[in-house]
Order: sequence, then structure tokens, then C-alpha cells
Amino acid sequence: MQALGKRIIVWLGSPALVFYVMPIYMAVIVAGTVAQKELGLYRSLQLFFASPVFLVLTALLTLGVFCRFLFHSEWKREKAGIHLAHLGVLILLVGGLMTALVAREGYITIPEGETKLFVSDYHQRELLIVRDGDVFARVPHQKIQRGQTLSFEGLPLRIEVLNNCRNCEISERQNVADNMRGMSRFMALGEGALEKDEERNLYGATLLLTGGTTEQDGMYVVFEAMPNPIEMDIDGHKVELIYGKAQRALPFAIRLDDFAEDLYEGTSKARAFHSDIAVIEPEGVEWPVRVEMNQPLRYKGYTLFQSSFIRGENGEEATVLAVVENKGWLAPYIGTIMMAIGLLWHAVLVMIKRGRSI
Amino acid sequence: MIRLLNIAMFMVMLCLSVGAQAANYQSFKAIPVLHEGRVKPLDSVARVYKERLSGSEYGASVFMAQVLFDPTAAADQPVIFIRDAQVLDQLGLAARQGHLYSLSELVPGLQKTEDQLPKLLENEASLTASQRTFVDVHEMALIYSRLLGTFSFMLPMAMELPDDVKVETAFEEGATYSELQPYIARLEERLQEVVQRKGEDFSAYSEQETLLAVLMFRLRSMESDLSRNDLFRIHADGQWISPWQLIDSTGASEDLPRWETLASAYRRGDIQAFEQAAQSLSVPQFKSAVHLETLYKAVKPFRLASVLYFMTLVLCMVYFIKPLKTLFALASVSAVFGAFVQVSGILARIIILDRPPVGSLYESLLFVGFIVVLCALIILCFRRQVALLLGGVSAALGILLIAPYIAPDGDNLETLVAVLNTNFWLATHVICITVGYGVCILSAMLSHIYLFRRGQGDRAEGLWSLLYIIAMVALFFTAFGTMLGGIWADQSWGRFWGWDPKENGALIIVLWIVWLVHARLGNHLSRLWLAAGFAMLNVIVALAWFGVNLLNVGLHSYGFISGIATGLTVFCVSEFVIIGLLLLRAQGKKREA
Repeated sequence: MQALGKRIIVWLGSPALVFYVMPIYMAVIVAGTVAQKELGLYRSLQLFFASPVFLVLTALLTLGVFCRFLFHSEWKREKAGIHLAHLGVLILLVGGLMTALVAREGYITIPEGETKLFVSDYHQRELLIVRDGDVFARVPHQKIQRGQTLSFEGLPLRIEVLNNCRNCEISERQNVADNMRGMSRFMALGEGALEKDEERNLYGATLLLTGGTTEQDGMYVVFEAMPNPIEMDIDGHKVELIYGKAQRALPFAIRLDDFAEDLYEGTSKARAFHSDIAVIEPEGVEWPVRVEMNQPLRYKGYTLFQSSFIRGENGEEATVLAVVENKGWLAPYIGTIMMAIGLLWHAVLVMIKRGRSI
Repeated sequence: MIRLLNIAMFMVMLCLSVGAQAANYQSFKAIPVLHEGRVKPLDSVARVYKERLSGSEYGASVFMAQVLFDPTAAADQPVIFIRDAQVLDQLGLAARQGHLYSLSELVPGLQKTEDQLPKLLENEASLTASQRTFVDVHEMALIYSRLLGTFSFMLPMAMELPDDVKVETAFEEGATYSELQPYIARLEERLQEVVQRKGEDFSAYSEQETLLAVLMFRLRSMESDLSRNDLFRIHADGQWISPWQLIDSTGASEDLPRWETLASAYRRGDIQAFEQAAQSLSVPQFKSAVHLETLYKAVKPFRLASVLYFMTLVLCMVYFIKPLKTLFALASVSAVFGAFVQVSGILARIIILDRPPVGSLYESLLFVGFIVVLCALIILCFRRQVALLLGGVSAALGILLIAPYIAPDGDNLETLVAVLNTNFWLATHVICITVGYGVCILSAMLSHIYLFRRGQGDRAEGLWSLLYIIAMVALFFTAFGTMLGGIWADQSWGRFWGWDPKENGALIIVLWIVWLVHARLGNHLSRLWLAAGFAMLNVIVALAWFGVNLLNVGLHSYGFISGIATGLTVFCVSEFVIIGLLLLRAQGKKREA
């Protein structure tokens, strides 16, 4: 048994692992890349780069580097470059794993002069239940599935999901039933073709709500960017239902003082963008920062990047900052440096050694 | 440092440009203007529009001078290129040799057909080739008419003035808009009086009143040039203004008289005065960069380098037939000179654009081509192998021949989009990855030669070692460059890796080399198969470099291109076939041995 274990470790740390696994790994990467043309990045990521096959292959290669590094390394000076390069790759792979597990991405849209605290997720949606102005519950979109029934402790609201869509097509309601309430009297939601860009899909659902007054109980439609939330009066509390991108709070607030687009003179082509923001701590202390292209703000484990901007018809501006929470962000920097030094060292040694035989 | 480099480049370009420059128009060509967000010589602007209208930049400055200062004659010059028989038919024109038509010839047809444009533009994506040409001809005519109006305010109007206007303004026939501008409001009032008295029917007007009405109509129609006068800006009083804004600077600025002198000298045909006036419009701050660009455009260093590389290839071929040392020396000198010319062109671009050399797909071609030759020449200093010259130079020539097809329309000295506007990352990640591409290509070319020589029964041990060293160097640059790209993405977009097509393309190159290196370490592949694998780097680099841009997805949108799919497919299939045949032949020889 011990001998078998040793043989496995030997095989995992040998070039054979790379030789047999790498072609499949490359094939999946190529397929996942080409598929983006039709499926878009998000669905390709789900289908290929987050697939069990790809994860197993990545794990195998990581294990292989680990075994090679720990059990098969000849600790000689001329092998130092190779070891360092392998260690760099190991750090990159482990860093990548950490990022995949713990990193969270989102964005925050702030109109000039306004202060925002909440970050919207790019992909995750949620049904937000607000009671008397406070968030009572958040229901992830994965639970808003046809046939699902939701109830809440402390709130006699019952939600039955009659229908749900990932990219809703809104059509005029043909037959209005007595129990239809709010906008469901005028419109029906149907499933449309998915957008390649997941952010652009319009999530929505048709819900049967009970728990309010007889006039309020009934069928409702709810979807992203709906102008007004569903409102009910339940046990004397004002309850609102809002469907949209999942929100999470930052440990500090951001105020946009100024957004500027620097154009090349005489053109409408942008040379640069920047947002002058104020970071406002919970205790009220605030300090100014400029976030611009390639110059993010890193603070309290969050990184804020200049992502985009919105200009209204009357010239009013809003900045869109990407917000990333990634505890493993340093790993690629360390891994890259180690790998580069290792490869350079090895390349120089190969040059010296083989150069004589040319 | 940059100044010294600039002077050196200037000298180099001067040497190279002997015989390439037209005797006249030198100062006119070098007048600095602001166009597409960049200060450039008027010559570059002239080339952009001449190429756009006629499909050739030949004689661009002469064309521009006439367009700017004698628009009436220019409107009669055949400059707009139309070959499509259907479009010619629509415009009521007959096909002719040269396919060039004047604006005057086009106007009647354009007026008749302009109502078709809105409908066509609604479905722009589904236009046929003829419909696209039809829309393009309308666009060209619009651009040309805008160009013709650039300085119309200071050109004589060639029309008779009413007597009272002559007396009031002290101008005779041939007055310009700018001269009459102070009187326009009063002339307008006078015309309104006439209209109130006699109505809008010209037939009731006296001769003098008719002249006044025609004059006002002409002045008003010229004012429409003002709103369309944004094709390029000129330097006046320390700022960049549209040419028509010169009118507002009358009195305070010396620039309007200078431009008037220039126009007047042109119309008189006084070349000496014309050049002197053009010299007076030079701006010291931009003088050296503008002169450098004028020379760069005139010399066309990359075309010259291609010629030199072609000569090298011919000499190498002859060397194979008759291996004379002189031939090898000549081939080497030709390659060195070609590389020198190519790097001169790249340095000129760095100085002109004031940024690192690679900021677009086109520039990456120019740089990678140079890197391939440079690496080959460096190794040639230590090991005199004709295979190096052949591999390096043929790859560089191929790349330089592709470059014009990838070049953007118009001026290929482009300003950068915001996300690329960072000299640090352009000088690190982009340089590193493009050097990696170059070294990969050299490695692939040497692998082709290795397979060829093995097919002839030659063991080519030295060449094998050489190509393995080069592959290791390629691995370093591609791996480091890819990781640096990840760090840039982390700085710019908030994530190190996003499985974006461009990132995946770069990663595949790295993984391919890593796979081959491990195959060698584990003795899983023979040398011949390894060499075939390294030769395939050409295909993999081409797909990573251009292929992923065809997908039109991901955050690297600034690199998207179209129209090269066929070329890329032909290249990849050809490489498969060539490498396959070389491998089969070499294996056959191995079995024989």
C-alpha cells in the first residue's frame, strides 16, 4: 500500500502527468474560449472553466507541482531556477483557488454629489423583502424557481413562485383574472433568449402572495428595474418586495465629488477617466481619493476600480466603480515574481550549458 | 535623451530620405495641425484624406494645397475613386480608366440619390457591396466638400460686388468672406429693406439689388462651412482652433495674415513665397516631431526594410546553391541594414507618439518582426548559421507584408484608448509578451529548418540545441508577459485572471511550450516530434495573436479585428501541411538511417 502511494506520488510529480493532462487542459481552455463567441463569458465560465472536469484537471496539475516540489526536487544550485519557477506556479494556482473561493465582485453606481454604501453583484440576483423601510429578508434568485413556496419566520407572508424567467420578455396581459394585482394586470412575463452578457439579462418572476389583506393578496409580477416595488400591508407593517441585483454593504460609504472624462483635444475619444471620491468612515471621518484608470483604491480589503460612467440627457454624470473583495490578490504578484526569476535563471543556465554544443 | 534620440533619428531619416523628397512643399508639409487628437504635420492629414478619397496617398500635399487654397479648381479635379459599375450607373457616370471622378461631376448624381441614404443607413449591417460603396461615395463627397471649405473664408469669392458695397468696404471684385465679415450685418439689413419693398422675387430687383442678394446668398452659404469646419485644427495664439476661428482672432493675431499670405502665394504660383509663408506657420514646440513624422511618412521605413529582407532571402537562397562566404556576408549586411531601418521606424514612432512602441495590433506586428530579426542577428554574432538568417528574416518579411492589411484605416499613428493609456504597462507587459511572440516565431522557424535538414539526413545537433535555447527564452517572455498582463488586469479591472479570450490565447502559448518541455524531460516525444511541436508555435502564436480578436468578445475590445479569418485559416492549414510533410520526410530518412 505504501509502495503504491509512493508510486502515485512519483507519477504525480513526474513530467508524465503534465504530458498526459496538459493536452486535455488546453483543449478545455480552447473550447471554453471559442464558446464565448456564442455563449458569452459568464455561461462559458460556468460550462467550461468552473466545470468538474476542468477543476479536477487543475487540481491534478496543482498536486503534480506540489509533489514535484516537495518530493522530487534535487536541491542543487543549477536546479534552483526550476524549483523557484515551480514554486511560483504553485503560488499562482493556490492563489487562483483562493480567489475562486473567496473573491467577490460587484459594482457601485454613484451619481455626482451622492453617497452610496451598497455594492451590486454582477450576476447574483435577489428578492429583497423590506419591512417598514428595513431589510427583513434576502431571497437569492436560485430560490425563486417555479413551484417553490417561501415563508418567513416573524412575517405571515407566503410566496408561491408561479413562474420565473432569467431574461424576461414582457408582453401585454391578454386575460386578466380577478386575483391579479399591480402590474400583473397589464403585463405577463415570459422567458426570452439569454443575453451573452449575463449582467444584461432581466430576471423576474410571477408570484402568488398571501398574508396581506384580501384586496392585496393575489398574483404579482416582479422583475429587475421595475419602477415601483410591490407594496403590501401585513399585520400593520408596510412590506415591500424588490427584485434586483444582490446588494451588500461596504464598511465605508463613498461620495462622488466629481467625475471627469479627459478627451483628446478636438475629438470625442477619451484619453482617461477619473472619479474624485470621498471615503466616509462610519464615524463620519472622510478623506478624498482619486480613482482612475489603472489606479484603483485599495482599502479595508476592498479594491475600487474606475469601470465605466453614465451621462444623462442633461449632462448629469454618474461613475461606475467595480468593487472587488479578494483576500488572495497578493498571490499572483508573488507567484509571478518567483516564476519569472526562476525561468530567467533556468533559461540562462540552459543558454550557458547548451550554448557550448551549438 | 529623447532630444538626442530625436536628432539622431532625424539624421538617420535624412540620410534615408535622399531622393525620396519632393523639392517643393517641404515647409507646407511640415505645418503642424491637430488631427484626431494628435499634433501632426499637414502632410500626414493630406495623406489620410488623399488615401481615403483616391485610394492612394501619392501627391497628397500637392492635392491638399489645391484643396485648401484653390477649392474651385480642386472641385474639378478627378480625385474620388469609384469602380463599382452599379454605383456609377446610379450616379449617371460612365466607367473610365483610373476610376477617378471630380466632385463637380458627382454633384448632380449625388443630389438625385441622396434621398436613398437614410433607408440604407438604417440597415447598415446588411448592405451589399454596391450599397456600401454607394454610401461611401456620399461620405467621401461630404468629406471632400468639407475639406474644400476649410479656408474658404479667406479666399477671393470671384464675384462682382454692388457699387455701394464697393464704396462702403473699399473692396473691389475678389473680396473674401473675412474681409466682408464686419459689414455682413449691415448688408443683411439693407437686403431686408429690399425684400420688404419688393418681395423675394429677384426679377423685380434692380441690377445692384440683385448683386446684393447674390452676395448675401453666397456669404450665408459659406457660413455653413463654419459649422462643418472641424476636420483638423490649426495653431494660433498658443491654442488649437478650427481654421474658421481665425476670423475671430483678426487684429490680435498674426496667424490670419500668415495663412492669407500662404494662400495668396499659392494662387500666384510663387513657390518661394509659398514656402516662406509656410515656414512662418511652424511652431517651435512641435518642429522636430513634426519634421520627423514628415520624413517618416516619406521614407516608409517598413517598406524599405521589407525590400532589404527580401534581398537577404534571395542571397540566402543563392548561398544554398553556391555557399560562398561573400554571399553570406552580403546577406548578413542586408539583414542588419534592414533591421536598422526597421528599428529606425519604430524609434520614430516612439518619438512621434511619445509612448512605448506597441499600442495596437498593427504596432505589435512591426515590433515582433523586428524582435525576430534582432534575436536572429544576436545569435548570428556567436554562431554563423545561415538557418538563423533564413528563419529570422523570412518571418520578419512575412510579418511586415501582413502589417498593411492589419493597419487601421487612415493614420496608423494612433492615439490610445483610455485603458491602454499607461506607459508603464505598455513598456512592461506589452513589450514582454510581444518579445515572447517574436522569440516563439524564431523558434518555430528554426524548427522548420531543423525538420528540413533532418529530412536531408543531417543530424543538425547544433541547430537542435539552438532552437531549444530559444524556446526556453520564449517560455520566459511569454510566461512573464502573460503574468504581467494578469497584474495589469488586476490593477485595471480588479481581477488577475478572467478567462478572457486574449488571456487564454497567451496562456495556451505558455502551456504549449511547457507541455513540450515536459515531453522532452520525460522522453515522451522524439526530437522530430518535439521539433514539429515547436514549429507549431507559429500556428499557436498566430491564433493567440489574431485569432482571439476575431471572436469579438471579452474586455480586450480595443484589439478586435475582422476580415482576416480567411488569411488566418489558410496560414494555419498551410503550416499543418508543411510541418506534417517535413515531419514525414524526416521520419522516413531516420528509418532509412
